[in-house]
Amino acid sequence: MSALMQVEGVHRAFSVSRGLFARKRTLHAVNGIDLEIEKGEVLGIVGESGCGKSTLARILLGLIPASAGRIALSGTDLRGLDRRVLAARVQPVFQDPYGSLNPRKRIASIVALPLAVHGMGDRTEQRRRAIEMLERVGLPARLADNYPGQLSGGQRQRVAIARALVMRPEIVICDEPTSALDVSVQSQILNLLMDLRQEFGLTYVFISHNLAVVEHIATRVAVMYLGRVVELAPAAEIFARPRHPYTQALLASVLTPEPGKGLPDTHLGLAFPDPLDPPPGCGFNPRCAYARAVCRERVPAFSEDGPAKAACHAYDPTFGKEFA
Amino acid sequence: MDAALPSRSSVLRSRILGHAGLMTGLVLLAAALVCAIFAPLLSPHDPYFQDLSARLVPPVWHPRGDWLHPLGTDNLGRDYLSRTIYGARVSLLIGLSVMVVSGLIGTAMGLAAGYFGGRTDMVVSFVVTARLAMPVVLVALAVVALVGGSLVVVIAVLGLLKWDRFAVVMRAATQQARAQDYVAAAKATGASTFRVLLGEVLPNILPQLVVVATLEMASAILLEAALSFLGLGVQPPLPSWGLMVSEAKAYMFFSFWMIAIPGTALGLLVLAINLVGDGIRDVAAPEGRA
Repeated sequence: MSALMQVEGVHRAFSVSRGLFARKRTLHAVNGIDLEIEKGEVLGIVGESGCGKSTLARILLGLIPASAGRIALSGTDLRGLDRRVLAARVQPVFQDPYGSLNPRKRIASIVALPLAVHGMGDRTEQRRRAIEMLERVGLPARLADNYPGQLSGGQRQRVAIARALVMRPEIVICDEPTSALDVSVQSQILNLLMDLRQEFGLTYVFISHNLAVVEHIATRVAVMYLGRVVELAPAAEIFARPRHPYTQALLASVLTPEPGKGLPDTHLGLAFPDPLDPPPGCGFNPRCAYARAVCRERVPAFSEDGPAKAACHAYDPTFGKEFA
Repeated sequence: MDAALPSRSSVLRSRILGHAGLMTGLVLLAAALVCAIFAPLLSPHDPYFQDLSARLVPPVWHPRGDWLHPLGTDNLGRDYLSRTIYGARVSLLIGLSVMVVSGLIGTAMGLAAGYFGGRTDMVVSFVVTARLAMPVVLVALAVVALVGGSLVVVIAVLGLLKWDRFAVVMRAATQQARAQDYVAAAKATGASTFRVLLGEVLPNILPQLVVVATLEMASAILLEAALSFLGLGVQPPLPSWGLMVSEAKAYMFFSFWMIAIPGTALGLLVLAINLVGDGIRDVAAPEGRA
């Protein structure tokens, strides 16, 4: 089966100005990413702040162009096509439901915006479909003429989901959709997303730094570090047996509810490296407990280990024995 | 739960009515508008009619004043009340026209600079800086010297010169709005740049736009008065408050009301516009946010 969305060698650099006379520096926010998103899956993307998760989300949504690489939907290259071709099939749910809804528009017109942009139906038809979608996401139709300021955070996120789904897209890119919400509301939104996935046959790209949420919702997980995917594996596999040292550290960093255990030791002594000046070789080598000479010289390629793929020299048959 | 929420218009109404400054400004501005629109009905005399036998008649509260000319007459015997009422026409016409012309230019420039950033921003910022380097009064003087002064020339000169504050404020406001996720969400629906700008960005920067517009209108009215006072604005015998002050200055030690009356009218109108602008800024919080 061919993938629904193919991401090949996608790269995004930002030019960072550091004052009037300083030379401009290049920041590689996303540094060569290959992913295949299969129909119906929930691909979790995890990583710490600054690893390029959100930049990747914006590239997938067509909000910023990739500096290099290509993105294809069902085999059709998107470069040079009208942005609406992508928009009809890929829609976002953003993190902050306070910022993602225009405070000066009524709920019904916010949800109907995609229909209006794509010229689907007349005004009454658009409004009818918007209200229908509001009810699908668990909001009463009487909220249609309210403003976002009159809604709670959870209600607002439901509005954002309704807007994303009103055009019946195939892929929904959720960029930390629950991290701005109260814990009690988070699970409601997650369950709603899961129900809607069943109902509409959706594919999710689910970006989060919350591993518990990803474990709950994802079928496959990509771990990102410094603009690269360092591990890609089925969700059950990644949580049972993490391959990459960074994934291991990430899983060890999850706080436990047991009192008296203290903060977990992640062995990540050093801070996140400066993305403007990444370390040579494997980006993770300064923080890695197993780093060897080769890690400081070569960028590791993906090595398969069972159902998982890890970009780590320890799993590479050529260098692996060095780590034994 | 929505039964407990007061409707948006009733919230807005109570906010407006509770704002003393805004109400004062609105009442004064309404009075000026009524004067301007219904000038022929309200003025007791023809503002251009000269009665040389009744020159420099003082206002009615003066011992020598009478009800025939409630605010007296000027040095040519023209009824001062009528001229003051007609003067509101010139001031408001110039204020509104200049506001519209400069507002369109400045808002377009500010939106483009703030939204696109980069090179567009650099070009717009340079043009704004270049414009700020030109003194309005000197440029107006040069233009009037070349083509002669008239109402249309004053509107054109001020309208084409006073867009700088619109551009600067709209640029900053747009930069702020552009970074919001609702703009990203609209773009992700495939909306055109034009639609994003007019449908998503503009409604959110409208309060700032209204405030700048009122300030610019007030300043245009003052500039017109200044230009007319210098003889570079609208030309006699058109009744402009600036021109009336100018004509009265020769008599200010003997007939002080001639300078005080148009001066007071000018001051009250500018005060009213500024009060309205400030009031709108206070009242126009986004819907549903108290």
